[in-house]
Amino acid sequence: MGHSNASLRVRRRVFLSALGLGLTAAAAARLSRVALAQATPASKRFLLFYMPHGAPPEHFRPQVMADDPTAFSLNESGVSILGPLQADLKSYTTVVQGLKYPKGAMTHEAIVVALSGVSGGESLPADDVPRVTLEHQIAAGLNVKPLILGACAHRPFGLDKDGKLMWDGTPVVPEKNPLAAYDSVFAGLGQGTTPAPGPDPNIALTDALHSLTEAELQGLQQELKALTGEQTKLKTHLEAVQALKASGSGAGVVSCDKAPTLAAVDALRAAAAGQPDEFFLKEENFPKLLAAQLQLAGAALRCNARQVVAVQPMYTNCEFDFGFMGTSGAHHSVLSHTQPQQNPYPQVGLDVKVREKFASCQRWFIEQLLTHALTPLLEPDPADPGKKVIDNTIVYVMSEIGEGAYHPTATTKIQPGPSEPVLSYLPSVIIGGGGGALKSGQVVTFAQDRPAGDVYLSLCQAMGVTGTFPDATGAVKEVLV
Amino acid sequence: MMRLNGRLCVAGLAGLLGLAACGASTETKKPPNGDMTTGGSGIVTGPDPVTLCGSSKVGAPRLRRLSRDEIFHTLDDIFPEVKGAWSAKLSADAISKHGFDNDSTLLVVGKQLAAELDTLGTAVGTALSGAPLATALPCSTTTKDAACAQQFLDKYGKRLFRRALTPDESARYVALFQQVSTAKDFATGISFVTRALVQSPHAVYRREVGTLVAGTYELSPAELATELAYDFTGTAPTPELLAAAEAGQLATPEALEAKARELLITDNGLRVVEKFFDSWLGYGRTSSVSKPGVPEFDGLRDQMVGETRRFLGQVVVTENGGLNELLTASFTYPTPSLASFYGFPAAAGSEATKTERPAGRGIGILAQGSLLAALAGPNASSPTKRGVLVMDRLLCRVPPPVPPSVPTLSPPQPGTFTTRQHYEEIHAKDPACKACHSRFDPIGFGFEHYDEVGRYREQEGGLPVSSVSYVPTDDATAHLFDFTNLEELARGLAQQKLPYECTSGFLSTYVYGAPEACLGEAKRGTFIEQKLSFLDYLASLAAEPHFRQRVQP
Repeated sequence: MGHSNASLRVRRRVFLSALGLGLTAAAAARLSRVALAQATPASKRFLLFYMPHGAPPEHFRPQVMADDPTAFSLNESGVSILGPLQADLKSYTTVVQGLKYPKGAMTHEAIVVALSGVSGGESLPADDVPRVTLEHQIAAGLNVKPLILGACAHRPFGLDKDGKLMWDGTPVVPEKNPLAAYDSVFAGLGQGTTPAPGPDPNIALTDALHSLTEAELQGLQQELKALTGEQTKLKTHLEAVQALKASGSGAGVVSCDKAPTLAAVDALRAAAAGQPDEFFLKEENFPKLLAAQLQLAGAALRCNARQVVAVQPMYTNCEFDFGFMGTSGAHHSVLSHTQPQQNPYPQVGLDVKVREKFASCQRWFIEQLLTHALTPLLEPDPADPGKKVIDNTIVYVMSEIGEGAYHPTATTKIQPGPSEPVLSYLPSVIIGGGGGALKSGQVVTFAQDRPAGDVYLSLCQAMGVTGTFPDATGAVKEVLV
Repeated sequence: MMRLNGRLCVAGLAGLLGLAACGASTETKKPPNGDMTTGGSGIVTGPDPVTLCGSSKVGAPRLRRLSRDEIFHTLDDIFPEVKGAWSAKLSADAISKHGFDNDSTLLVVGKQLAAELDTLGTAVGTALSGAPLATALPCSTTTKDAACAQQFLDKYGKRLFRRALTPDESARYVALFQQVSTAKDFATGISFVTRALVQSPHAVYRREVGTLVAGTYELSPAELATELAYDFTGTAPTPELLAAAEAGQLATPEALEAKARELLITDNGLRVVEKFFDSWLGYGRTSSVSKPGVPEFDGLRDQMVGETRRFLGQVVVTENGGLNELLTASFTYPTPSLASFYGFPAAAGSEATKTERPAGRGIGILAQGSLLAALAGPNASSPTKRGVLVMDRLLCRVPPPVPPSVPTLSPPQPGTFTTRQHYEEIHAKDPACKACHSRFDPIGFGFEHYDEVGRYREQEGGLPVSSVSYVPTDDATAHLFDFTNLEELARGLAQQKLPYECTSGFLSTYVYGAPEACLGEAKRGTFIEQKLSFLDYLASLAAEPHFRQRVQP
């Protein structure tokens, strides 16, 4: 997204005035950027965070007091997966309970439709059925390029269905290298470059180039029109090139005057020095990679260098051993399949803590999110004096299933122990003020499951864009102002 | 350079690596003969490898998008002047059910890849338009004009498109050059032309379309040369190969097969061959996994993968072996530190050497440390994963889908129960688990003398390990054959017909990248009869009708 002409004039005027006052070029440039930021309404930001494999409900659901949905605790549910949000973010948090994913979405495979609302009828849609997931719809609506980050978001050898969370027509592969992502987001920031007056002459040349590619594709479509099997492929490609022609620069008005120092990114840069690319696929580096990705996400949002960010830590049934955070065992096969109190070895006693172990892993994800990405958003928003960044941000936390014993993709009653049965809901947590568009600090519970697309419609509306989710029936008015 | 050269693994297998239990269905899902199956998930999964047709079919004409690896190799080969001088990334390719990254139905150019191709083209163009331009385009040192740009197109456009540009195409690119060079300069004009060529659909897709002749699409010489090059070397055809095709030297099935054989034993060809095995069996993923209970594993895992590559080199290439040799070879290629890790006799020297396995320490590919480590959990072996490998990759039995309700796989109980006992208690006694696990866990028990990092063990936590078991029939009601250890399992498989049927199906699926089955039947029977090696069967696929022709479905 280029700056508007009016914005550029503001910036140029302030820059020239500052030079006239004797400031250095670098200082004048900084002043002009601040002026531009202040002249522009604070932009809303969006962060999507995917937590793989659901959450044991007895350790996840908020405790609601006296049937008052605004009186609740995130910290009184066993291991309290959402407990890290209690202290500083509870007032910004809305937990939505009672959602379902599209028909045909079952178990982990729901990942391929969970964020788009597209159904294949009785089964999942084929891979060539186009779909656009929530974060990409918001980015498209804002005419910005989303920052899509992953720690180990797919298997090392390629993208199979277990990693296909995000789509923009076709599956989107998250950037797995935080260093490359950092350099891409903050390249040139704080190096004193002055704004160039007038439109960038390369735009016309780049347009001509893409028009040539577009014409070649159209020519192929015509030449091969008898090959109906290939027309879909060419159509997808053509639309992609046309989108490239129309795409924005990816950034809004950057409110930081220099590239932020991010400890996790710097540590990773040191660790990765001299290492081959496979470094970013190694299991033992997962915690470092996730920390770096989340710090980058928080910084990109705080600086408004990217308005839309998504972080996918793992693919659905990743087998990483979580001993690094104190709970030994493979995340998927050993820890997440948490049917209660199954014990074939009576002579060694019951393992009643099996669900707590997995809950502690999922709580770790929320702790990471809070520490690295959300805490920076509690700082003042440079573009909106008196407000914090989180006031102008929407964070959405979700998973592809409700919980690991039954892999539900809708609300399901389960029996986690000798106590009463509980309802397992699809994790759906909204954090942030959304620029005043969101009602926060509540638990919203639907007696009858609503499509997850209804929440996505609401989030799009709060972000000021139009969204389309085939399973949606309407926005959730309870979360909107 | 930021591109990834990661080896591929088997998505079908890896998709099952999280499998702790499975559904109640005992049916092996076999699709109608040669048709694609959606496997119940609505996602196209490709041909059934084991389908036998007797005679070869011919598939549909198609555009095959180059895989990420193919694109990078192509650019390195066509622009050697700037190899290593540019940096760009392409995101991971979608993997088919069979684990291959060249499935023509899955490889599309979406928005992300279109943007990445543009960035890639920019990087190559920028690098080329600098100091290397004088070498790449000698006329640029004297006459920086459209005629010189046309020379660039004639040379590099032809390499990238795998054919000469048409006059119209040339005119368009020259027009782009002139627009850019007028606004900027000659070098930038060449840079933009390069950028456009790299992302052109004529470069990004290889055509297997042909010309319609009496109801059949006959592939052109250029298409045949391209097919040979990418199928058997994973990169662009050389000018010599294109010229040979244009000169009619590759007009017969025999000539195509001979050329394929010749290409397969080049360095690029061997890379393609090794990629098949890595994709099919999944040993390469060992390089990225951790085993918390074995600290020295991180320093040895890459050596394990190297060991398997050298093993394959010896069996498949040097000895021109087939499946029998792959399953039963008595040697391996450990480094001295790996030999020590495995408990082999101390090896001389500091390099990996061909080493006869001690008696009772496994044979063939199934005993490779990389495979055993890949098919295990972080802290324990996995009879399920190992059994599923054999079932899926060697017997072509389709694993059933995972049911929604999956019982707990409780942690191992070292010293109390062995892993086998643990699995037998849960998977054999629970009816919900037994229906599926009875089909593959018994196979996996044959691997139990090897722990999660591929080391041999007589005991596990002080308890004796047993690998006495059997390979069940498809419906798990009887024994296909019994075995007492991994060696007998491997030899037993080598004596069955089904693994050869299955493997040959995977080989042709890998080469053709097509959704149709039964494209490579001519020599398949010979491979099944154990009279044809891997390389010879692969090369024979170039002589099949599908390699030269297509028909509309």
